[in-house]
Amino acid sequence: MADSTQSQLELFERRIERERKARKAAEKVIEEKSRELYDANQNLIKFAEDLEEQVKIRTAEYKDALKAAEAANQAKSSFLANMSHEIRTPLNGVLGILYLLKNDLLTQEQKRQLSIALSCSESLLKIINDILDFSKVEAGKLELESIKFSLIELLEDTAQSHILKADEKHLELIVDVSEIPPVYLRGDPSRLRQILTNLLSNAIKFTNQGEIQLTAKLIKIRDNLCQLECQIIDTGIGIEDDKLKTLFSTFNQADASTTRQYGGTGLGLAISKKLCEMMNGEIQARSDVGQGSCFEIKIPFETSGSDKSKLHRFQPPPIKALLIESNESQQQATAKLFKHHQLDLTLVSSGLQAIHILNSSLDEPNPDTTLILIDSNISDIEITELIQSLKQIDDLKLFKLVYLSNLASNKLERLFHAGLSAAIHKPLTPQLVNALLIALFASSDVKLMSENQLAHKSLFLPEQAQANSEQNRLAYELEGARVLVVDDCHINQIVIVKQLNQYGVNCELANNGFEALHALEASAKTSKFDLVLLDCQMPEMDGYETARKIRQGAAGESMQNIPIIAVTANAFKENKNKCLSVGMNAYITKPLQPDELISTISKWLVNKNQSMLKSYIDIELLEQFLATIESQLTEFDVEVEASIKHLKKYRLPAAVLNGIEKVESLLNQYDFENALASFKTLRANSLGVKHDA
Amino acid sequence: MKGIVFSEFIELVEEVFSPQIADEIITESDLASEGAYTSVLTYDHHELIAMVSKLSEKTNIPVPELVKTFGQHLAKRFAEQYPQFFENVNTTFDFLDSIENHIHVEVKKLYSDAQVPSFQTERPGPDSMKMIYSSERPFADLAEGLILGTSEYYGESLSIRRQDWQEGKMNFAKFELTIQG
Repeated sequence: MADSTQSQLELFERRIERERKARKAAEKVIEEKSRELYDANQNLIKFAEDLEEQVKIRTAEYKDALKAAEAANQAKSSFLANMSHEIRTPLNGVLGILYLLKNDLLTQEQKRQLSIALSCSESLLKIINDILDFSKVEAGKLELESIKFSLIELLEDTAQSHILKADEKHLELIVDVSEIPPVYLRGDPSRLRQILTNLLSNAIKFTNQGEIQLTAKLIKIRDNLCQLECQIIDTGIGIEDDKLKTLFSTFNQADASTTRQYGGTGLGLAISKKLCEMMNGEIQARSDVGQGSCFEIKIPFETSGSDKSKLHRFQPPPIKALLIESNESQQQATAKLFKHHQLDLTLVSSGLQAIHILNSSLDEPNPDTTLILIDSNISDIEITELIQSLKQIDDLKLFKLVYLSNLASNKLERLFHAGLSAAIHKPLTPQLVNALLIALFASSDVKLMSENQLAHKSLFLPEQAQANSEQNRLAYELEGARVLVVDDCHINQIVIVKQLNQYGVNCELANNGFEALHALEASAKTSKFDLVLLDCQMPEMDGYETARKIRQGAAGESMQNIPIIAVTANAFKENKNKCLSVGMNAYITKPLQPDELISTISKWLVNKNQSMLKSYIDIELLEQFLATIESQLTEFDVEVEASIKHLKKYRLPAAVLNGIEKVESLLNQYDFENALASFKTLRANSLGVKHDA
Repeated sequence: MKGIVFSEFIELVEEVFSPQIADEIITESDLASEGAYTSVLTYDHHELIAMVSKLSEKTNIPVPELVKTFGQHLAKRFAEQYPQFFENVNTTFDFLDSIENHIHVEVKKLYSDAQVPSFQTERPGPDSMKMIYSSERPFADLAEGLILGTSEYYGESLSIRRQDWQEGKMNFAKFELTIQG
C-alpha cells in the first residue's frame, strides 16, 4: 500500500515535472513570438512613418512644381497681355489711317484693296483682343461691370451687327426676341455682347447655307432676378460628339483642320464659357453633324426697372395685314411679333402668291387689307415690280407697304418713290414693330408724344430716306465746335484731327498736360474750347494729373467744368474708374473707332447745351405732370405755378400747351374755379389722346 | 509534428487506459523531449511512433487500430478547439475539400514550420469521394481516424476503402469514401 502510494507520488512528480518543462518551453516560445511581434510592429510603425515622410516630401515637391507651373503660366499670361497691348498700339495707327483713307476719293480698285486692308486689320485686332481677354481671364484680372442696360437694345444691336456677314453668305439671320420685355438689367453688357457675338460669328462662320436663329427669353426667377436664356441655332457643318466635349477648352477648335479652313484663335468659346461662369451662368452646345449646332447660354441677371418709354404698346385700329416672307422660320418669328398687336395676319411665301390672294380677296365682304409687309428675301419677283403690281389693284389704294430688309439698301429712295410707306431693318423687335405701327397708323398727337419710340434707328420713313439724317444731325451739332486734342503721339494727333475735321470740328493740339493747361487758359480770353480729348499716358504731366488740375481750376475758372474725354490704350476697368475719379467725363479706348469718337464727343457737347433745347415730353411723364397739377389746383397749392413752369420746359403738343396757358392766365386772375374746370377739360382731352392710342 | 498531437495522445492514453500506462510508455520510449509536450512547439514524429508501439505492446492492441482510434478522438478535439473550420461547412466531404486549401493555409500562417500532409480530393459522384493522402510520415491510419471522427461530427456514416503504397520517402494512401444510406 505504502509502495503503491509511493509510486503514485513518484508518478505525479514525474507528470508535474513534464508539465513544468512543457510550460517553460511554451513560455519561451511565447516570449520569442512576442518579441518577434513587437519587432514586426516597430518595423511597421517605422515604415508607416517613412511613408508619411515620403508623402510629405512628395507633396511639397508637387506644391513647388505647381507653384512653378502657376508662376510660369502667370508669366505667360502677362507676357501675352503685354505683347497684345504692345501690338495694339501700332495697330491703332494703322486702323486710324485706314479709316481716314476710306473717306478719300479712291478708284474702285483702291477701294477694294482698302477694304481688304481694313478687314485684315480688324480681324487682327479681334484676335489680339481675344488673346488679351484670355490672358486676363487666366491671370484672374478680368473684372465684370455691374451697370444698368437695356437687354432688348443689346440683343438688337448685336444681331444687327451680324446681319451683313450673314447676308454675304446668303444666310438668313432670324431673331426672335418677342418674349423679351422692355426691362433694364444690371450686369456687364459688353461681356454679354461679347459672348453673343462670339456665338453668332461662329454660327455664321460654320454655316454655308440655311439660317441662323437667335432666340432669347427672359424667365423670372423671383423679384428682381431673372434668367436670360439665349439659343443660337445654325444649319451648319455641326460638331462630332467627341469634339463637343473639348469644345470649350482653351485653344480647341473642333478640328485642327478647322483652323486651316476657317481661321480663328480657338479662344472664343473658352472665353465665352469663362465669361458665362463668371456671371454665374452656363453655356452648352449640342450638335448633329451635317445638320447644325445649337449653343445655349443661361445667365441670371438682376432686373433694374422697366424701360418706361417702351412700355406703351400701340394698339392700331383693326388691320388686315399680309406678310410676304419666303423663309418659314422668319415668317413665324415675324408673325409672332405682329400678332401681339392683334393684327389679322395672312402669311404668304412669294410675291406672286400675294398678288393672287389680294386679287381674289376683292370679292370678299371686307377686302381691306391695309398693311402689306414684304421681306427682302422674296426672290420670285423684283421688289419694285411687286410694288407696282400691288398698286395696280384698284381697290387697294389705301394700303401701306412696308419693306423688311436685312441691310441698309441704296434702293430705299427709289422704293419710297414707288410708293413704299416705310422700311425697317431686321432684326425685328417688339419696339421696332410698335414704332412702325405708330408711324403708320397713329394720330399726329400720338406720334409727337411717341418721339422716343419713333426715333428707332432701324425704322425708315420716306422723309428720312432723303438724306442721311444721323450724319447731318451730327455734323450740325459738331460744326464749329472747338476741341483741344492732347496727345504726345503725332500719329494719334493726325488720326483724331482728321476724323474730327470731317464733321467741321476745329481742333488744336497740345503735346502734354502743361501745354494743355496753357492752351485752355489762353483760350478763355479768346474763343473758348468746348471739349478736351485727353490722352492718359503722356510724359511730363499725364492725363490724370492734367484732368485733376483742370478741375481744380488750374486753367482758369471758366474751364473748370469743360467736358473731358479720356483716350487711352489701356482697356482695364481700373483705368476707367481712375479716369472718372479724377473728374473726366467719359472714356474711349484706342484704337479709336470713328463712330465711337464722334458719338461720344457729340454726346458731351450736346449734353452741355441741353438746357437750351426743349425735348418732347414722354407720354408717361406728361400724365404724371397733369395729375400733380390737378391735385395742386384742387388743394389751392401755390406750388402749382412752379409745376406749370416746369412742364412748359418741354415741347408740348399744341393742344396741351394752349390749354395750360389758358389755365395759367386764369390763375393770374385768381380765378381758381375756372382754372380747375379748364384744366379738367384739358386733361380729359389729353387722356383722350392716350385712349385713342 | 505539432505538439497538440502528442499532448492529446497522452491525455487520451491517461483517460482510456491510465496515467500509469501513459507514464510507462513515456519513460520506456526514451524520448528526446522526455514527454514534456506543448502545443506551441513541434516534435519528432518518431516519438509518437515509439509511444504507440509501446502502447501496443502493453495493451495487445495492434498499432493501426490504436492510431485510428486516436485519429477519431483528435477530430473531436479539433472540432472543440477550432470550431470555425467545422462550422463553415456542412458535410464531411466539404470539410475534407477544405483541408488542403483552407485549413492547412491557416495552419501555415500561425506555424510557418508546420509540415502538413497533402490531401487531394476528387468527387466522382454526389455520394462518393476519392482522396489521396501523401506525406513523408506514415500516418495514413491517423488520417483514416480523422476522417471517421469528422463524419461522426457531421452525423454521417461513411464506408471507407483504403489502399496504401510508398514511393521513395513518400507514403501514399488512396481513400474511397462513400456515404451510407
